[in-house]
This record gives sequence, structure tokens and C-alpha cells, in this order.
Amino acid sequence: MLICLAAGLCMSSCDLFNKKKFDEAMLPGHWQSGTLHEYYDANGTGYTWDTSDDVGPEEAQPFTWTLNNATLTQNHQMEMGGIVPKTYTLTTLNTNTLAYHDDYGKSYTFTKQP
Amino acid sequence: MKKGLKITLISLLSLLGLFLLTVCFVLWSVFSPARLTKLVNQEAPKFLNCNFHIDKADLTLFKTFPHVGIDLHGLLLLNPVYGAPTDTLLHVKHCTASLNIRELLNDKHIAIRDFHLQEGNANLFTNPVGQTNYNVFKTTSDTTSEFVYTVDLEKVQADDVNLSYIDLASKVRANLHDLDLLVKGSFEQHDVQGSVNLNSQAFDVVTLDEKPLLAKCDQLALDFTGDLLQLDSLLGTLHLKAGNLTLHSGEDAYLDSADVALASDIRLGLSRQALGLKDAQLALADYKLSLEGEAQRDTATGDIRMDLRYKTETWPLKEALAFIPEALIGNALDGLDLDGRIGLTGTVTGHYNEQEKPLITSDVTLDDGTFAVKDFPFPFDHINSQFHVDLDPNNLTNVTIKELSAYTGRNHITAQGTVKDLLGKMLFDLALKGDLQMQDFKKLLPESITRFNANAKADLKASFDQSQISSKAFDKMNVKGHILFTNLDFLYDDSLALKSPSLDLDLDFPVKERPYRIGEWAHLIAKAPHLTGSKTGLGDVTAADAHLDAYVNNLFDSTLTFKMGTTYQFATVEAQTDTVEATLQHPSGTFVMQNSEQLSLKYAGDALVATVKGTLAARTGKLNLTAASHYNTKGKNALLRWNPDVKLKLAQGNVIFDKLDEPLGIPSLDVDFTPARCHIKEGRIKLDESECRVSGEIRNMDKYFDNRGLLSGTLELTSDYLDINHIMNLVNGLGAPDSLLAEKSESSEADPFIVPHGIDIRVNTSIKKALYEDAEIRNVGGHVAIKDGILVLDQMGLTSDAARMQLTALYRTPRKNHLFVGLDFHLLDIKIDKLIAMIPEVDTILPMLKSFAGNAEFHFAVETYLKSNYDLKYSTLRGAAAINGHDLVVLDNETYQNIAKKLRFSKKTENKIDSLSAEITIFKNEIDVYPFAVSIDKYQAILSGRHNLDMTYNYNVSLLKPIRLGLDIIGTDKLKYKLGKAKYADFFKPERQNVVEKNVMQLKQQINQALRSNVREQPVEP
Repeated sequence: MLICLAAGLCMSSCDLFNKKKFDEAMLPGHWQSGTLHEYYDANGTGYTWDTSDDVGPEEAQPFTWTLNNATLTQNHQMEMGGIVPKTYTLTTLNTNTLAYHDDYGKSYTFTKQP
Repeated sequence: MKKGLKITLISLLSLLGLFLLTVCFVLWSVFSPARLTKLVNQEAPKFLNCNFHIDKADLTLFKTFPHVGIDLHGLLLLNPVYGAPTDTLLHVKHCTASLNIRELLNDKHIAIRDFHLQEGNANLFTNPVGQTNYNVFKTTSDTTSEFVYTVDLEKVQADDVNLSYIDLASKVRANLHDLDLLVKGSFEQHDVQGSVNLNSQAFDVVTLDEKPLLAKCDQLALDFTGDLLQLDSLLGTLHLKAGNLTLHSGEDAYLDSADVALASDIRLGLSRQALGLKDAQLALADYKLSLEGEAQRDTATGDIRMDLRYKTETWPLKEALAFIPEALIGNALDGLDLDGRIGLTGTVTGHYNEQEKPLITSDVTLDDGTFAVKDFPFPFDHINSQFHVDLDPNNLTNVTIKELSAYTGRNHITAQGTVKDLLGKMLFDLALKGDLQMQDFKKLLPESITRFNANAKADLKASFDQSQISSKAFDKMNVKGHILFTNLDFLYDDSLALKSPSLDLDLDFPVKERPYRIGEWAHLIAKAPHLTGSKTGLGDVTAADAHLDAYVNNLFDSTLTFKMGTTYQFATVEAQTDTVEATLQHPSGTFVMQNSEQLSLKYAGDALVATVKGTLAARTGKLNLTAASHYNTKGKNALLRWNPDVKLKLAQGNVIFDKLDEPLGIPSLDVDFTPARCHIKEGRIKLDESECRVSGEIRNMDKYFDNRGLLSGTLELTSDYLDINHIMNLVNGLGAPDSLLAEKSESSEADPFIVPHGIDIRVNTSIKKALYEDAEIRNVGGHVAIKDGILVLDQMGLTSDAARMQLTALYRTPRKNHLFVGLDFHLLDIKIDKLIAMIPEVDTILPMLKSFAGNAEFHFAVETYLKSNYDLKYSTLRGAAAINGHDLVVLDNETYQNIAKKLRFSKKTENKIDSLSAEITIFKNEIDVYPFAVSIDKYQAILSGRHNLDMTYNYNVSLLKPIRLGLDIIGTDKLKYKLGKAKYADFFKPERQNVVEKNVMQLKQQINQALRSNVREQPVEP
């Protein structure tokens, strides 16, 4: 039990202390990861599409986003009225690269598109 | 004339006196010529008041034997009169005379045994004031003394004498050349008896009028025997022959070089200038004419009054017509070719002068005649006719046709009636019967009638004139009657065809009635036991027992478009187009075609059977249809071209769609339809076991098909049972763009349902029971809407065995391989096992749910795009769900056993949970289960985690009671259970929540609220 408690405290403190801050001004733009595309507007909106499913940018689905320190939250508003929130942790954000992962270990690395 | 005769007689007597003197002198001078000549020259002035000269006078014994006569050689009488062309009155080589002096002196009887003029010229002249040159014998001053002598002319003769007569007072000039004259007779008491025989080598007489009447001939022979009563009335028998007789009046020729012979009893009134004929036989060339009657010339006006009767032999018509003066007949025969054998009986009555011509009537018999009019394509032959002609040059010449039979080609025509103004407009008013081959009359028909083949038996009354015939202006004619067509084959404008083995037609044109206001020209009533028609581009129609009562506008006016209005009645009508076949039972109604673009139809019928090839087959019971159409050639489809205005009532309808296995029944339908508005007053529809009642309006079909607007409408649909699957099949792909339909599908077999575009239709439903997919649902109430490519089920409330439900669904088909489907589904009071059975996808979204049993409330919103084969496009998948349950039972399955084992659940633990409230989101292939608490017996845990659609799991169970402990459940098919920390130990303790837990709780609330916001109260089944 003590070992578990210690491990748990260590993990929590790592999250707390390793949390980076990213400049949200770096986010707007067109990012691509393979067939997956994300586009962030500076006004907090964005849209995403995946060409592997025969979807083009004109058919992209919208979301709103916020970046708080390293936490990137995408709220995907459904046409049918529901909300699908997705929360990611940024690991890289510069002029060329955007990288984040979710709490279940799924990570994405995007490159900036002109 | 009487004065002239008197002067002539006085002159004759004066000559006789001269002769007596001569005889006396002969006797006195012992018959010496010299003495006799001298004596005559000395004594003649006592009798003559003109200059004269005698070459020699001689007594004759032998020439006048047994009487003594005198022969004057070179007798010349000169009497110049003002205006006369010559001063010579008479100049003859010989003038021989023999006279009984004793009877003259004793008995006052002038007996001229012989008076003979030979070889000379006589010029008789009267100037305009009546002064004559032949009044040369001196008379006593007592003009009142009566002529008391009797005269006996045994022989008065002239040989080779040229006689010129000019009477300017009477305006007559005549010449006789080489005149041979023999006159015998007697004169007593003002009466003359005798005979005249006259021959002349040339004769001419002309009136000196403004329009001179000229008669001349080469040979003139006249033989007259009779009486001259009171020196005025000539009665006798006349034989007259004139060779090459020419009669002219001014420029008008009445006769040209014709041999004329006349034999007649005549009655000639000299003072009256009247000529009467009796039993006259007039021969004009070879044409003989019986003639009697009277002609009289008015001496004051020059008018000739005629009252004659004539009768001809049978003449060859063409040759006889050549003798009719152009002045009489004008140019009436121009362009006409007439022949045959003709006989005439008639009269000539009336006045002849420059203004008037006599009326000629004639009863005509024409046998084997021919008749042709220039530029008229139908010559007639075998004409047999009897008719009466009133030839009135002053007014109208009329013909009454008593009977007429003629052929033109193989067509036989009979006629009775009248022809007025024969020499002018030729106004026909006929009763016609014909046995005709209509194809022979193609040339008469307007070009718009492409073919007209038929045998026709016609019985018509027709009024028309010659100009209408020659100009083919048949529309100006008046025609009424009946025609029986057999083997009719009619083609109008190369597009409208009509065929019938027998068609009975009553026709009447022009008409005054205007029942349809289409410029009615003809009224046609057609009856046909069998009739077929076809219209290029439309199709064929076959009718039985057809009865049409139609009016049409002027078919012969090429500037007009065809119009018609008709009532119709049939036993059956079968119609066929490229795509439609229809059979109508006992249809009747009216049809009006204002033009090819404006049609109206009223229809009532017992039944309709129709087939639209490749689409549907329909059958009705009683059918009432009122339709009108304004045709627009620019319309993009049949609806927009015809623009129908339809009122339809039908019963017992039945429609079989090719795409449906079962027929669509229409027990009743009451619809008012225009392209702008379709008002369904009542419609009952039955499809397989489905039955519904529909009412409402569909609007803007015109704008929809013209791509100018949405097809909109609202329908009320009520039903006891409805199979939605059939309906989906029925409207599949209707109106979608071609590009969309032609798009290649993801799978060659894929043919997704394409929502109609350009449509905004809302259906308010009230369905007691419905079948969708395999689920039976009840109390379906709500709205189904199709709006421009989007199908919406809007808050449909329904009930099934599993739950009370509310469904809002959205199906949009922007393109064939990109189909959007969205659901907002609320299941109230649902049995979890039936929920999973009804929606197997729930097990994928929330796999732990199958571990529970009991009732729950399930709210679910999901949307995604699909491929054409309905495969998910996972990258577009979004969803959120919330489930709330109470008093659930945890099923004792392998998973539960593993969890219970790891978390050291007591074996006595009761597997019931008081409540469950979970929120789930779906993003692409990720299904995130937000933390939710579960209480089982004395245990309390929080479950959360994620699994992917590939069934890889990453869950955490945070056990809060009785101890805090975490259990991670990871893996795919073979799950791994690993103890760890309690991830959400303080999740439901707000005061102790960390930032992450607060955020997650907030998200849970957002998800839940968003899902529940659309729920409305659903009725609970009793």
C-alpha cells in the first residue's frame, strides 16, 4: 500500500511539476498528421478532416478549442445537439510541429502546412 | 318609212306618166328614135323637177310584146341635195317600160306590164332634216287629193343595179350590190299583193348610231310572197338566206361570217317597224332553231323589243358556245372548257339597246357533257343534266339545276339546286350527293392535312361561288350535311392521325354558335364504332363506340392554329404512349384545345387501367377528372409543358410500382392539382399491409421542376399500420441531381438512399403501429420532413416492446459517398437487454451495459458520415450517450466474476445496484466512459476509461468502499486485471475534487444536459 501510495504521489507530482506552458498564438494554422488534418483559427474555432475517409476540407467538421498551459481542449459540437469534449496534453508546439497526447497514451504529431 | 314608200309610189307613177308621154310622142313622131328622144327631153321637165338626160329613147315592140313599150338608153337623173355624197340619183344603161294606156286613161288602172332597169346605180339619200334626193317628180299642189288609181305590176325588174341608200334622218345606211330584183303584184285600195324576189351579191346595212349596228353578208337572197296591207303591214312568207353574215354592234361581234337561213311566215309592220315570225326555221350554220314571236324597233329611241320563243335541235355544246356573242356572255366562259350535247327550249324577251339586253330563258338538256375549269384540278365528265337558265344580261343570269349527274375520276356526284349570277360570281346553292374517294381530293385540302384516304358517301347542302372554288376558299362556303366515311385514314400536320373502318360524320360550316369561344367555324358530329388516333410524341388511342360532338376553328386558314372543342363519349378508350398504356371504361366529358398549348379536359369514367412502363400500373374504379392545360413548349418536363389544372376523384384505385413487391392501393382519392398546388382533400393509400390516410397540400411543383424553388408542403398522415421500409423504397433517389446519382459508389453493389432535393415537405404523422427495419413501433406521432436533400424525423414519439422512445433523426446526402446520418434518440424506461437487442451498437458503445439487467433511461446522440455502402467513416464519428438506471441487477458473468475476485467481493454480495448514471462520448473510434459510480451491496466504485471500436480496453475501477483501491482493466479479448490506484477517489466529493476531476465532472454535466434537453414527455401505454 505504501509503495502504491508513493508511486501515486510521484506520478501526481510529475504531472504538476512537468506541466509546460505553450503560446496559444503558435497554434492557429493548418496542421497535418498523415491523412489527418486540423485547422485552428485564432478565434478559438477549428475544423478537422481525414482524407483517408474521402473527406475534404470543405466537408471538415468544426470544433472549438482552448489551450490552457499544456492542456488543449477540443469541444466537438454535434449537429444533433450533443457535445464531445476531447482533452489533450501538448508536448510540442512550434512553428513546424504540434504534438499532443491524451490520458490514454494516444499521441499525435502534426506538421504545419503552409 | 310610210313617207318614203309614198314618195316611192309617187315617183313610180311619175315614171309611168313619163312613159305615157313618151308613148304619145312615139305615136306622134311615127316612132322615130330621134324624134322620140327629142320629144322626151322636151316634155320630161314637165314631170321632173331635177336635171335629167336621156341618150336615146326608142319604142319597143318585142321586149314588151304584145304591148308597146319604150326603151330609154342612158337615163340619168341628177338631183343634188345638201349633204348627199353625190348628185346622181339614178343612172342606168337601160330603162324599159310597158304600160296599158287605155286602162290608165279609162279605168284609172295602172297596168305596168313591164318595167325593167338594167346596169346602173341608184343613190337614194335623205339628209338629217328629211330632205330627199329622190323626190324628183312634180306633183300638184293639191296634196290632199287621194290616189285613186289601181296598180297592177306584172313585172318590175332590176338587173345588175347597185343601190345605195343613206337616210341621215333615220340614221341608216344600206348598200345592195349587183341587185337583181323581180317584183310582181297589184295595188288596190291601199293594199298591195305580190311577191318580191331579190338577190344581191353583197349587202350591208348599218345604223349611224354612236354604237353602230352593222349587218353584212356576201350573198343575200330574199324571196317574199305576201301582202302589203294599207301600204304598212307586210304579211307573207319569207325565205331569206344570207351568206357569211356578220352582225356587229360597235366593237361587239354578235355573228361572224355565218351562213344564216330563215324561212318564216312574217308579219312586218312598216310604220311600227315590227317584225313577227311564225314557225320560223332559223339555221345558223348547221345549228337549227325554231323561232316565233315578235321584234319591234322603237323609231324614236332605236330600242328593239323582243318577244321570241325558240327551240333548238341537239347541238354539240362546244361548237354552239362559239356562236354565243361575247357581248352577251362576256368573259364568263374564260377558263371554262365545256362540251357535250345540248338542247335548248326557251324565250327571248325584253329590250335591246345600248343599256339593255333581252332576257333569254332556256330549258337545257345536257347529255354526256364535260366540264373543266382552268386551275381547278377536277374535270367532270359523263355529265347528264337538265337545267333551266335565265340569261339576263341586265341583271343576274341564273340557273336552276333540276338534276345533274357527273363524274370526276372515279367519283360520282349528283346535284340539284341553283346557280345564280352564272355569268358573274356563279353563286351555287346545291344539294349534293357524292360517292367519293377522298384521296382524289388531296389537292383541294389545306397542306396541313397530310393524308385523307377514305370512301365517302356524302349528302350535303352547299352554298358557294365560283371564286371560292377556283381559289380553293372552302372555308368561305356554306356546307351542311352528312358524310359516311369508310376505311378512313386521316393524317393532320404529319403528326395527328385518325383511322376508322367506318365513321359517320355530320358537318355544318360556318356556324354561328360559340360554345367554346375558339373562333368556331365548323360543327362536326362523329360517330364511329371503332376509332384509332395517334399524335406524334404523345402516343396512340383506340376508342370503341366513339361519339364526338366537336367544333373546330377554320381549318383552311393557314394563319390560324388548330382549335377545337368537343364533347366525347366512348364505350372504351385505350391509350398508349412510349411510357404509358391506359384503358378507360365509358369515359365521357369535354375536351377543349384553345391551341396546341392550351388544353382543358373534363372527364368522367367508370374505370381507368393504366401502365407507366418501368414504373407503375394503375387501375381505378369510378373516376371523375376535370383537367385544363396551358401548354408551354419551353417546359422542361411534361408537367411544366402541359401545366395541368386537374380536379380528380377516384375510387378503388390500385397502383403497382415496379420497385415494390406489393401494389399500392388507393381506395379513395380527392385531389385538386395544379403545378403550383396539389391539394389532397382526401387520400387513402394501402401498400401491402400498410394503410394510411393522407391530406394536405404540396406546393411549388412548378418552381421545383423549374429549379426555381423548393417543393414544399404539409401533409397529415394517419395510419393504423405503416411499413416505413416500403415508403423508403418508394421515394428512393427521387429528384436527386444526376451527378449525384451517377457518382460511382464505394461498392459496386452500393446504392444508398438519396434524399430528394429541392423538396420541403412536412408530414405530420399519427401512426398507431409501424414497422421500421425489424422493429414494430407504436403510437408514432411527430413530424417527418424532407427538406432539400435532408430527411428529418423530428421528435418522433413512438413506443415499442422495449421502451417508449423519442427519435430525432437526420439523414443528409450531400454526395453519394458522403452520407450524413445523425440520431438523437431517447429511450425512456427501456429494458436493457431489449435495448441491446434492438440497437446492437449499444453493446459496442458501452460494453459493460450487457452486465446489467433491468430498466434504464438511455439518451443517445450520434452522428457520422457514411460511405455509399453505409460503412462508417470513423474519422467523422461523433457521439454522446447518457444512461441512467435504477435497481439494476448485475449479471453474474465472467467479467463480473473477475472484478469481484480482484476486488475481493464477498460471495454473499447481492448483485444489485441502486442507481447508475453514466456519460459516454464517442470520437472517431474512441469511446470514452466518463466516471460513474456504482454501488453494489457494501461496495462503492467509480468506473471510467476508454475502449476503442477495435475492442481494446483501458478501464479503471476505483473502489471507494470499503477500501480505496484501483483496478485497471486492460487488453482486448483477453482482458488483464491489474490493481492500481483509485483514479477518481474524490470524484463525487466536490470539496475535495482536483482540477481535472472538476473539469471532468463539468463535462459530464454538459453532456448530460445537452442530451436531455430535447426530451419531451412521451405517453405511457396503458
